[in-house]
Amino acid sequence: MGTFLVIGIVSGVIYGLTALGLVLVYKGSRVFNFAQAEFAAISMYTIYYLTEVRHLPYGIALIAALLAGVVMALLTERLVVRPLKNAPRSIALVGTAGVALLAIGLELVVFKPEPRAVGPAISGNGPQIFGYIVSNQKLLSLVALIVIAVSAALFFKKTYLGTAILANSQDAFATRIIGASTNRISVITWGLAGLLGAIAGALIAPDVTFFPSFMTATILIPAFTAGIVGGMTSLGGALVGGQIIGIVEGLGQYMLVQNPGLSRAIPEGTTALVFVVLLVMLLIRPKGIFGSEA
Amino acid sequence: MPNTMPRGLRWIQINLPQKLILGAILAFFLIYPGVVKSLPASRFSQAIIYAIIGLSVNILMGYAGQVSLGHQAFVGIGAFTAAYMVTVKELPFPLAVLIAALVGAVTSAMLGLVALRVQGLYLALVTLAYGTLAERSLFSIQALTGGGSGQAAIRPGYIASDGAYAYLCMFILAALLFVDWRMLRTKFGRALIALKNNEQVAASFGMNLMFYKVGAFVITGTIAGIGGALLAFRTEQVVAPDFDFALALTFVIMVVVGGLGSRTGVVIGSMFVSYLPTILDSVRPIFGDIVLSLNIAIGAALLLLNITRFPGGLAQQLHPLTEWLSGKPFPKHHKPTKPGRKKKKASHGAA
Repeated sequence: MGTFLVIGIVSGVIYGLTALGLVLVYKGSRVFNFAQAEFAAISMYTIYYLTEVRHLPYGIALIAALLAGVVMALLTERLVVRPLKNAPRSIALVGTAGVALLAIGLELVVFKPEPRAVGPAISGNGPQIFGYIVSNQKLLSLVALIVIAVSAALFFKKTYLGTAILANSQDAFATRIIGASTNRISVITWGLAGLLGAIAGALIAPDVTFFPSFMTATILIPAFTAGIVGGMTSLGGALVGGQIIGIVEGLGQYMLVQNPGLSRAIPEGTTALVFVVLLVMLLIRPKGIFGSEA
Repeated sequence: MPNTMPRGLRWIQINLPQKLILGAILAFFLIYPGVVKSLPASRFSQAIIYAIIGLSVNILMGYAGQVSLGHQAFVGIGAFTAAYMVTVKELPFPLAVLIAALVGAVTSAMLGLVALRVQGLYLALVTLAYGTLAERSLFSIQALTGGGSGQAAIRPGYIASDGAYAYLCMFILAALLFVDWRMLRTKFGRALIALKNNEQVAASFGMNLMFYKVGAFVITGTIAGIGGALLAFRTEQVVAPDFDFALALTFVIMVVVGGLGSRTGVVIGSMFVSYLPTILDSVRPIFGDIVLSLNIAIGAALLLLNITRFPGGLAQQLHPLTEWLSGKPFPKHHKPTKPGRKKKKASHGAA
């Protein structure tokens, strides 16, 4: 059981980072960003292309991957989200889903629907917890999460820009009155969301075999669930929610392994479990544990 | 000059070229399924069934203003119910379709009750979770879906040929178009538009929000159930993987590309999206194999182009043409209108 717990915590890191991007965008633009997982996917494919096809060093590939994620997010903001500023929010949601679909479509054309894999950023194994050997790559994910959490907390508490973003999410009109550009804030939140997505993609890339639509199919819904559980308006809630969803998934996996009959009845039990959590949370407390309003 | 003809009969006044064009379109629909061989006829029925499903999505997205990301579940439930009723319970075809419609109505009414509590973006997430949960759990019940090989849904003798089946689908589409057209002119239809424009104002006028919201979901589910049943009998074999999230996005694309809230636009958009793989396949000799994988990218690009630049969709682009064909003067200075606004005016005129 400990093993599944550790697996859950590690996958919770990726969910948390993706959820953090979702929450950031929600605070900035009041839209559920269905393209968030594709920001991660473009970073994975960039790393794949530069290291496996072009044989460039990992450092260059990583920088290019982070840039690719940010550029994609900025293009989404400029070409889709800003024109829909005054449209109904559900139409903006359809817009971001369109961006995700376009990205998947282009991945299909460029990289073909074949499974791809990349080597780990750092090889070797770290400590053994509950009989589960935690690879250095997974340790790196945990360290990255802590670094990002601390720097995000400092950014939003201590800097002018961070507080302007928070102010904008509370009252966009009042923020403009005090002289902060809402368009610039929107650009920065989307850029940060793209960066977070790209980091998540770079962290998970060595642990999976990926294909077009892989990230949206496997990461997006748990990340949304994490965001909803933590509260779509709470940045810290997103990271906590990610851990909760990761652990729930790990425990679900453990239960399925213990009861073969159950796993035969519901073949994709853990995925279904996440949806149940999402549905129940939306019905009982849509604003989440730490959220301020729904 | 005021037009003295009753609204429904104005089309009689159109001139000869208009009659010829309308007649040609009508003749194409009436003759095409009869003359082509079985595969094109089957593709044609798929396009017609997609148009039926498009109408269903349009009621939620176009009229009630609510995004549905779980429509593949309504359609899938309809398909499996119909297949189960015909193959396992050995009921006749019309009864199976009827039960599929009923089950579609009941399951979506449940979602409608949820919609009373959760709204907007959060409801969009609920439809997504509901749809995918149904896909992952319900569709893997062996008894209902026949497991991996799927459930058979053999058509009865009188519609066994693909051509005959296409005519049946067209008849049902025509009937549903008529129902949709009439519904929008009733108190119920106007109430839906009012709900979309401003819920609070609608409620303060004494509208029963619960009734209309659940009602919108029931109608959507009924039509989606019928569409699902027809989809099942088209291939005569239903398999669960056909009803994945990508299908839900396809439904959203065809309605948005066609034009939210426009009946004609939705039918054209749905048929276009349904035929897109066939069109791409036909240009393969010119551009090579790459066109086959372009399907998703083209659909998504059209979706984005529509919602950011032409929110009225194909309906808005074709508006001068359809106006002219329906006997109104050809608009010289066509101002793009949002579909919702146009509908509002129309319903005022009928009131």
